[in-house]
Amino acid sequence: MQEEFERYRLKIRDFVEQVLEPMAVQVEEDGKIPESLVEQMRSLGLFGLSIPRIYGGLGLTTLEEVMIYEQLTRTNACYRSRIGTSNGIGSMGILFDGTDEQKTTFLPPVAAGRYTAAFALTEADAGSDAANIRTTAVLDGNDWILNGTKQFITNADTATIFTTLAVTDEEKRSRGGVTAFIVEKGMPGFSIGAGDVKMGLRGSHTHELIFKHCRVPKENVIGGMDMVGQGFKTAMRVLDKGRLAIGGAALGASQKVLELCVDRVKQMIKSKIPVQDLQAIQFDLADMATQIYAARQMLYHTAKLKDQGENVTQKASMVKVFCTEMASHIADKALDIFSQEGCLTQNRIETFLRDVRLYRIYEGTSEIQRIIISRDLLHE
Amino acid sequence: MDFTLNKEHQQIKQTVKDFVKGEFKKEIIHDLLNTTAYPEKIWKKAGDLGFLGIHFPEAYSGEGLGMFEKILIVEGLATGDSSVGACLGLAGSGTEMLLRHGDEPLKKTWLPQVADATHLSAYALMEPASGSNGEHIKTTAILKHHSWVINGTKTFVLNGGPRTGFYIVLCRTSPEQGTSIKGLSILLVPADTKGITRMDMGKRIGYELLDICQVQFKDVEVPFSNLIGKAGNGYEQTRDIFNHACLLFAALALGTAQGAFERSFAHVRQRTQFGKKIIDFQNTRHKIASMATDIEMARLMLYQGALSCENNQKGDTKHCHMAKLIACRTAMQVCDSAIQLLGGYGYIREYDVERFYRDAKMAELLGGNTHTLKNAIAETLIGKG
Repeated sequence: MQEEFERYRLKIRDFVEQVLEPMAVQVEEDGKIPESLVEQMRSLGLFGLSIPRIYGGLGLTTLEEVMIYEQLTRTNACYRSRIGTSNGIGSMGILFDGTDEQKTTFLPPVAAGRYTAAFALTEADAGSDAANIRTTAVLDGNDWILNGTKQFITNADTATIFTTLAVTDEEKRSRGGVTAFIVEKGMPGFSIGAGDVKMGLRGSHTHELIFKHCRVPKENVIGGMDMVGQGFKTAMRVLDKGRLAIGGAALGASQKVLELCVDRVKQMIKSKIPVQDLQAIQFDLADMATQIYAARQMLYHTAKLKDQGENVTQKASMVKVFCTEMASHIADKALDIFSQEGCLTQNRIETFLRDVRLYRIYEGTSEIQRIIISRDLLHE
Repeated sequence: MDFTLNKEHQQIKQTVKDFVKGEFKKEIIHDLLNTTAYPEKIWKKAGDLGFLGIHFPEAYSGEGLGMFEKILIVEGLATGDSSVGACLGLAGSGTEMLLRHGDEPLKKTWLPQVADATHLSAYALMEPASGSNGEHIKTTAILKHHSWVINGTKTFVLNGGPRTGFYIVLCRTSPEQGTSIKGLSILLVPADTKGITRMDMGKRIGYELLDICQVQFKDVEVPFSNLIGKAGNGYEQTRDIFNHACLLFAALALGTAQGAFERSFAHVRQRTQFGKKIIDFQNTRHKIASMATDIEMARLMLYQGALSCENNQKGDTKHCHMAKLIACRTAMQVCDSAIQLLGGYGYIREYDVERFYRDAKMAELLGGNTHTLKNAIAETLIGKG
């Protein structure tokens, strides 16, 4: 099993180096991933890393999954983003809490990459305060009628299914009054709104979602009618799992950036810059490598604990905050090492800096992570 | 020691603030960004108001003020907008060389063009394989009859675009001196001289509205009299104006920090989550306090550096380099915090702070990076600089 996974990991590593990275500058400048690359990602099983084999996925463990993300992010972050919601927040609600019918209907096409899954929680007034969502769902015969607007939804333009959180009981709200729905593209009253122009992750598209008297059949409540009102718990579990994935993404980017810096310094030595003039940079490389080593142990260890069935809520938050802050710091230092040339998109480094910045904000800001971590420390 | 600005300086700051309020309209700036267009109209208006030749003598269409007034204005423009501010602040790129070392005819011909916003000027210093201070320069200028004939390629030429009137070029005039820092001279090259090819250096992290080009000179001929300063003295002259560049980028960085601070502070005072304003979380207050403290520290360092340039002095090297070091790092930290304070909106172009962050990085990378600055500061302390 381990050998098989190691073969797969190296296969993905080669794919990144030989196929994804050579297209990276173009993807960045065009702001989009060519469909031919997405098709190759499909055939490599990248859309179903975390989906169990019985549904056509690769059924990787958490540790294996983060190791794949670590490889996939050795290039533009948008490639991982393209498969990230299908493996993570877009589909995990169905895997954790869905009915058998929902799992067998939706998970196989998601794993095959034929359906992309997205996650619709965030709204204009509900960022960190996710419980403050305003999208409502009211039962009308055999359908729920959804009204509201979601914001910043990743992969909205390519998604077929959207795990959508709406308020079904205004009194209870996040304490038993929020329900998770599977909204499907093309359902009446559901439209995709304007796309966002972002600092980075330009090849990854986020949009507004508009629900205007959108009819969603009862069958599309995740977990069935018994799970009405339980959606918020589903959402939090889903986000919880996503933290290690982001840690893996941040780690992969950091490692790649370090390697680019090491190559640069080797070049500088080759062009006869005296070694004594490079001491400060060498110490920077040492610090980067040390942080990356620490981050990797932390990430792998936490993933292993999760696979062993432990509750890793606090640790996953630590991993997320540590790895993502490290990634920003390393990319920034790397630009200094590359000096003026670092500012040019064609030299790659600046794209990493812009891409990793979002990691400290989405799927739970660093501030929210610190609340989770300290709350656990102070818990009696 | 009184740190308050005098009435004249307060008036200057207010004039810039009024200009920004009237001209730096968000829709106009985003339109420029979306079309990657130079802020032509704003630049012309800035010229009318005397913002582009602040410390040029009045004889050359300048305002006859000093470096201190210049950095006050540049900070204010960058606060208004980091990208437009950079275009205006860098409009006279290289003119310090002309001011300090050019003869009367050269100054009289070329400085007014920059002050009046007729043309931009461009400083052509770096080359693909050159050091950060002008070592290993390969662009040559050979004297033939009464002309210099220039051959070579310069990179990272700010303002190397269509609005440029002239280039200030560091050349090797004594090739027999090899690749050393000896045998270099500075020449003024009018932009319409035959043999000049410009190429944009492509997409980059920031300063989106600025033309940053690779400029090739092929058998470009200029009169002997276009020599700025002394033949063979190019390296020293380059070092001479470095302090000025430090202060200019420090002012841009500081203004960028201030602008990001103002925007994020306003945001957290009105944004509500968890039933209260974001400013009412202690973490937010501490962040705001740190940002404000760092900005004030950087400002005082900048003022100290700028004041050392009083009476047209070339400035205190230690203080000018320290000012740039601190102002640029502060800008990066403040802009990073500003993004975080805006949450998801911080990552969206429409909300500006992410662009201020990217522009702050440009200020940190150009005009002497952190590494170069620390080397120079250490040398002043050890007694070599």
